Amino acid sequence: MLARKQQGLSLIELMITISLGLLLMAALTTVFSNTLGVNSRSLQLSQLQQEATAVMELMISDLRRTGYRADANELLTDPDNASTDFNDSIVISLYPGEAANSCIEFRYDENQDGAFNGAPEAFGYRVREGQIQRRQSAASCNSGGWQTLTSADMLQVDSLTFLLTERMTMNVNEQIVTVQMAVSAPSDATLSREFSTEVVIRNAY
Amino acid sequence: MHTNHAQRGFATLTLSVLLLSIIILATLYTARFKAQEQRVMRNHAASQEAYLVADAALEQVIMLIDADRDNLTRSIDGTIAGATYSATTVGTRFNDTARGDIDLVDITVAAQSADGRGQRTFRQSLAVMPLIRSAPDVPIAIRGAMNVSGSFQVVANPNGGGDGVPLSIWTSDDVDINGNGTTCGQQEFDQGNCASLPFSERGDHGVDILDNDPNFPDDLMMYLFGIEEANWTDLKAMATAEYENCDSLNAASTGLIWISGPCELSSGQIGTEENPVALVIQDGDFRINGSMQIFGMVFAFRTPGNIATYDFKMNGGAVIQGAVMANFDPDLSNGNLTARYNAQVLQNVVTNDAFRRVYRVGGSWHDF
Repeated sequence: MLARKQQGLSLIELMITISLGLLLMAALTTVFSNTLGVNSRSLQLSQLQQEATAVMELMISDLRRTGYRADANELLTDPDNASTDFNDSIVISLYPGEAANSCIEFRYDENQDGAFNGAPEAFGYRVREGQIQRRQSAASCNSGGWQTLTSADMLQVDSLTFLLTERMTMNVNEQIVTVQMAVSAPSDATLSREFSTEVVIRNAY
Repeated sequence: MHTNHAQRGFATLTLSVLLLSIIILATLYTARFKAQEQRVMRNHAASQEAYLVADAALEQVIMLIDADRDNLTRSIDGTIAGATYSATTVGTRFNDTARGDIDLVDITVAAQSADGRGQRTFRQSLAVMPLIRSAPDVPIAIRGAMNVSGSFQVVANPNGGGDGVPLSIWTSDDVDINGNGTTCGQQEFDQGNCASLPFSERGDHGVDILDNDPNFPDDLMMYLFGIEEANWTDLKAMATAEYENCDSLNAASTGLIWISGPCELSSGQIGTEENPVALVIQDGDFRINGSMQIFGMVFAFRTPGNIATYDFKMNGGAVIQGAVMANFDPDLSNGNLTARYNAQVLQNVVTNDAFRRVYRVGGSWHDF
């Protein structure tokens, strides 16, 4: 027994051992890289989802306020002096070179003083070069000076469209803006999400 | 050889442990990120839920205001699908506006999601306004001609044509009085002298008959209710009740009552001075044969595009306390009828709760 033990491994035995070891290592490496890959995709998807939901939520909650004016009651009590600057303020157009209906402008009485104060109460959102931008200083859709909300490292906005429709429900004329947005991860275009919401503009009439 | 064996196993073990710990670390990091995402999503869902609850609560509060239009300042607490909300409403009266005497109600609704994580506050104003823009100022108004016979009496609005100028009949075409028809003042009527001391009678038109008036409104529905004839369904939707005919009407009837069909009445009473009716008879004959008394206004309405002619017959001592109107040339053949302008009735038609409706004030909704 002892003499046999000192014989060492034969070449065949050694090769079998090594190839088994290699196979095991290869399998392990695959599992390893797969797990890391899944983890990283999962992270990217989460980031994409969060970023897109946040920007979508911001846009629609802002849009809902369209047309609000603090002196709305004056439309009935003192129509001659009621402010008219907030009437039908939704304008949909585009930044040159972007897709149609990818820019929206609207107004509401943010400081609740019953008067349109220009730039601070002129709002808008658009897509430009794959990023969502918010209107600043009452700049128009076709000019620069808008503030970029999303980050090119996190989010690529593939499309953003606004569609304004009107419908009668229970004798109330409603304006509806349908917002559609498609986004994808900049590092991996196969990771994508589409969002679609109907925003009822309660202050339309 | 023995030691070699052990060392090879050691390398494999170390490598495996290393790889495993890297995987565990990466997974833990992802899990933490995912948990974070879960929290963000839960908060987002709660905020969405609070939004929906606030939205539903606002509608509920508007319904409650509509159900009791006398009580405009109150606090309302409620529960929708396990989520609570509390609302306060403040009513303010504005008299003599372009839309009459109106109440404005400012609503504040604060809602929570069921788990209390999300909160939203909505504000919206309502207006409680008269359905009828202004009370008719004439007992009979017809968009068309009027050719009447029989012994009818029309009691004028003493100030219908301006201060001290009586107005009894207002039409866009000719008025032809035949038979024993007369128009007279309120006092003469009360004293039973309508026939002997008339403003106008057969062959003698007084100032109280304003016929061939180029200023007669093109759209009588617009004039009365502020709704274009073409949009008559909007008015119908605001009716207190809708019937096929007038059979179920009685003294307790009040509010805007829409009759889509013929209205045949014989005797009895519809409405009272305190709680009158506004009858809209759409595309149907209006016939009273008997001692029927109606408090309120009767509007014979022909749907735009319809060219049929409908009867407008009142016989047998029928009395209308208020006003009668038609937006078409009715087939009139009257006998023994009294149409009396009753200011009290016509004021109640404007100001009574049954004739006031709740409207949303456009531009007043906000969530900040």
